Amino acid sequence: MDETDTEIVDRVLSGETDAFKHLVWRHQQLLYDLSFRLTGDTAEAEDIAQAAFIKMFSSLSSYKKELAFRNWAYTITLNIARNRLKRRAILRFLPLGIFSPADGKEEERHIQEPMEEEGGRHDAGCAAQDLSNALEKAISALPEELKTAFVMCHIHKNQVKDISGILGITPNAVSIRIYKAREKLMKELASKYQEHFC
Amino acid sequence: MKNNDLEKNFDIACGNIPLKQPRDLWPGVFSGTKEHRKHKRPAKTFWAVGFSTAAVLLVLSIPGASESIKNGLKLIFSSAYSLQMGGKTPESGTLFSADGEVKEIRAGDILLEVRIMNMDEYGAKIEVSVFDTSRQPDGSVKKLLQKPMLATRKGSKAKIMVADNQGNPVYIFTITPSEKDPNAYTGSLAPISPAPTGR
Repeated sequence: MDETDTEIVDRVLSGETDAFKHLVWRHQQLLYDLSFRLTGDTAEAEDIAQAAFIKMFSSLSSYKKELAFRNWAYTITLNIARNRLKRRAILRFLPLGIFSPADGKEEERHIQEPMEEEGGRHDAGCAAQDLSNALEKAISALPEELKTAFVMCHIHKNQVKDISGILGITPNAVSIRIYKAREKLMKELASKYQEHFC
Repeated sequence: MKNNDLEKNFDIACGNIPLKQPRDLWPGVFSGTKEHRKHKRPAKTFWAVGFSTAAVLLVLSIPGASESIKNGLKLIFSSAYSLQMGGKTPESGTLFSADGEVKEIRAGDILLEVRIMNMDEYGAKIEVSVFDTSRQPDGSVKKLLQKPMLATRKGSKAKIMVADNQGNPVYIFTITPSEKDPNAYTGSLAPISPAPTGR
């Protein structure tokens, strides 16, 4: 039987520090996915997820076991990601040239663009892929608060009460954010994907 | 479109969105945590431990050194408390805590986190967080009910009473923060004879 997160935490705390790798492997995809969707940058997302795991390791003794490890991990990752986004927003308001990349190039972005349609192929699989790409693009344009709630609910399949604990807001506030996100996405996608959103 | 239908449609649409796959983050995390371990617990050889013990003994043998160590210690409060829930008999005891340290008192499902902070020579600040630890309808197991705070004189009794909507007292918490006399700190340092290595 698979070890629970709490059992792994106990092993790490008892001195078997290498056991932490199991927690990394178990949660890295979710944390990376969330970081990527918030920053739109693969390198920064990896950096955030990595920094979050290092923070978790260093403060593992303060982890309260009544909280799911995954939720604790989400909270730490979100805090780091938000700080980076804030810093990035401040840097953007500074005069050009002071903190821009050394060679003056634009900051590199790795947002996945929707796939181009090829020669009018419109089979079901292709249409679904097309919708997914359009949806991902629309999600990436949502404001941070709505995006976080939506991604955690619809893409990561978390319960509203868990999201509420992670974000530190009431379940009602989470539902409102998800609702607003859906409304915005529907407005964005309804004209092209009527059969799904009308 | 109804909210429920919309939710279902988004669930279906998002079902086709795969999670982004990172490269293996463990090597980076490992080197990061290795750094942390290095900073936190420098490896000490046996002779290094011996030298540091000798240094402590040397400091302690200088007259007045023990006094300066006492001054560097955090203040310790030894506070008598009593907690009464509804009409039940009060539970009482003594709470030992360092200045600013959070200590827990539990009575049934109610958990009190008490922090006593030194204000000046005569006064202390008491912060209490009252939690209900019974399972809540939303599944949580620790719900903050109240967070009262008050300032009081050291050695005098402080009383915190919380009433329900009808004005009936739900709990009464009394505490008398008393600073421990520096002369009450005692201690001794004795060398530990090296344990047999087994070889």
